[in-house]
Amino acid sequence: MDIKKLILDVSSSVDAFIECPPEMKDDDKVVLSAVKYSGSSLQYASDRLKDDLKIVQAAIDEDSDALGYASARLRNDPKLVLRSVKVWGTSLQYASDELRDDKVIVLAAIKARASAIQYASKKLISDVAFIKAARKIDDDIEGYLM
Amino acid sequence: MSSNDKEIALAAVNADGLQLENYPAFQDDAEVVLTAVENTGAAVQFASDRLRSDKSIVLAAVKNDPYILDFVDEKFRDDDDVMDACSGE
Repeated sequence: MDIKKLILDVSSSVDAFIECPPEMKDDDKVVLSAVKYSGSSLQYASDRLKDDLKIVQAAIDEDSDALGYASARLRNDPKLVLRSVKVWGTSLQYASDELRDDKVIVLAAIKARASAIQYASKKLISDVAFIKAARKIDDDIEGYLM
Repeated sequence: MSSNDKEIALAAVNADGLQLENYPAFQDDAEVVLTAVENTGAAVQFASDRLRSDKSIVLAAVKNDPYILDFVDEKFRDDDDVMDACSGE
């Protein structure tokens, strides 16, 4: 297998990555190029690389849904999740239950997109002081509260 | 004041430093104000007089946004460290 050619191919085609052999989906360089081109291609990567900080970071920077394909461990990583929700907001839906109950993470997500409030934990949604703070950041959250 | 109040104020200024305006009870709290100015330097305008003359707060604020010198205590306009931070050094 010509890895150099494959790296070039996956840098401009999602199909090229989908169709490459399984061992290439566990190759750091191939997968990094693939997720830099399309973050959601993380779903086709090996379980090992779905748990790799560098690969997942590149994927979440590119695509709002990439966090959903990361390992459970990384979906519970506060720094990584904060980085994603600050840009995309609604990627909060893919964070661990614990982080969807974290005020810092949830308010950062709301700052990016008011609609992210719908993915906050029930506990936060029923915290009057928290909702008051969220409303000050973006009063559009009203439309997303039941 | 409950610890939940401070937790919320910290989370709010971490999301948007200018939220400091909405939390008068914490405008003299170094931890909350530092978090706010690291996010948005201009938040220093809502800090207490005491913290607007605190060098570590002012340094963090000008590092984030050099254009906020007007909001800080005048004494820092002759301070080499603050001026260096303003020019990104």
